[in-house]
Amino acid sequence: MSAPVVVIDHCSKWYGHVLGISDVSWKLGAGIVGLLGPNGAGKSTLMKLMAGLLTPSRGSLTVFGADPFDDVAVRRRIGYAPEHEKTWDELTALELVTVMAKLAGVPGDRAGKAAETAIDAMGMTEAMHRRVRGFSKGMRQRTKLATAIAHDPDFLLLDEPLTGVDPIARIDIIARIRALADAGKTIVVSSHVLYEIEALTSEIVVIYRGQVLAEGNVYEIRKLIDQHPHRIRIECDQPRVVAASLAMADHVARIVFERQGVLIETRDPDRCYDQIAATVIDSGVHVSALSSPDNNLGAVFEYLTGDGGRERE
Amino acid sequence: MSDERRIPSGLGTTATIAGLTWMRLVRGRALWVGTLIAVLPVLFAGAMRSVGEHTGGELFGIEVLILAVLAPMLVGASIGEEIEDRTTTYLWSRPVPRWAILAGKLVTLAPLAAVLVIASWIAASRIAWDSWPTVQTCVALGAGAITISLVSAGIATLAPRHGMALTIVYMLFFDFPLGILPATLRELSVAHQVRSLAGTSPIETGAAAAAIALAIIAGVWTLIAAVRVRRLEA
Repeated sequence: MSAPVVVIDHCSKWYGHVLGISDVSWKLGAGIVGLLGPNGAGKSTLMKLMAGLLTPSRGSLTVFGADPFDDVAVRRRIGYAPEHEKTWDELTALELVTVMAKLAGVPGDRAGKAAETAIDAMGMTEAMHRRVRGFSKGMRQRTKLATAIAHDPDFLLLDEPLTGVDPIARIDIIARIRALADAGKTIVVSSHVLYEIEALTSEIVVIYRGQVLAEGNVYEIRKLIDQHPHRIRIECDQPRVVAASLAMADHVARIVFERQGVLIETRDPDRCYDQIAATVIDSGVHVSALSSPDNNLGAVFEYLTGDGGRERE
Repeated sequence: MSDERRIPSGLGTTATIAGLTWMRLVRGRALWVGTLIAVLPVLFAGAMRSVGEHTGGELFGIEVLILAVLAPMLVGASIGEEIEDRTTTYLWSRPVPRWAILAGKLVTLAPLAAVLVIASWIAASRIAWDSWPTVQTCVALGAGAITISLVSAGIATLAPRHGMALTIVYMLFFDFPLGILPATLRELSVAHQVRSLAGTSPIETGAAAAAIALAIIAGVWTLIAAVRVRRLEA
């Protein structure tokens, strides 16, 4: 078994009185790992610690056995694409990636070629002689990724690489990231969107309020919410009619009347939706809104943080 | 380690950052604004000459004032914005020594500040007096440009958001008044030492002593900048 790429041992990071991460212990091996958490959870803090941009307030963090903040050599093996968009907009994409390649140790006479290869890998060849200033969000993200891979690092840290990217570009970028993993690179990708992580990898780490809540296979973590009853909110003019039609169903765990409708907790959302549709058609109930508070990342975190997502009675 | 996996040297990093800084300078506005500022004493000299007024020593004083604005505008703004805009994440995540990043900016911007102010002084002198300025005064302005650039680098690493503005405030409201104090404290003033080095100060300390004082002031602020940059977190 190969040594872990990253070893985090009871690591905490504070920014003054603001907590970044708290007592995180984690070992990262080869492959793609998704770092999942809402905004402010500590994903970027963890990424920056691994990239050598921050030092732990407590505990330790090593990458390839060395402290990335103090050890210059280990950063040669790391490629980091930050979350923020700001770059040197006066440069062309090729110039930017070439400079980054040189600063990462690629010899000057080969840096240009390495930059072109990286830009091509990210599908930006046609725009490489254009200045970054005029790029769309998706083009900026691709350029950022190119800067991270130009020096052929072993370990990639991609902080929210799909933020603000249009759906078509998203599919393409996901495919390119997977190709990098297939080429043998260890990759950590952060996101606050579950389905983005699901498209990249089945191994995830869930982080919330600076703490790791769960790690492992994404399908097992997703099942946690599937095992927890789903909530469906129906805003309608006849909530008691809807409630009566569902009350005897074996998949219904709870029914709560709200001011403008009814909240159903069900263990089988598909059957529940079918029954609701039938009731609406048969009884002529006028439904003004139909939503599921559980079909989102917040519900996963509610469950994992122990809030349970239960409505107050 | 194979050639493809080498670590960039400090000098190599400095050269790359210098090239990057120059490229951004030429494509940005700072160079042109700096040039316009450097032209102001020339315009002043021309205006005085046109109305038949003799400028005397005021012109050199104006050049020192320009220096107090030009160097921070180039150096303080560049370093401060880099830290504030977080483009340092690209730089500091690379396997390069941080001092080399600072050095790369300084070797581009400090000499540029010196060239601009010296060129301004030469042009203004020619217009005002139809004569070339002395080498001593040019050297003094050049040394002053380098020193104020390093002061600006130090202040910008301490307070990146307002690096340029704070350096200008420091120069105008602390350094300049300090330089006219009838006390030993005036030796801490860059403006006073520049005038002493140029031989234009009424309270001269001697050119050699002035040069040493400027070197010490520059060294202290360089140390502040280097230590600060080494531990800054992105």
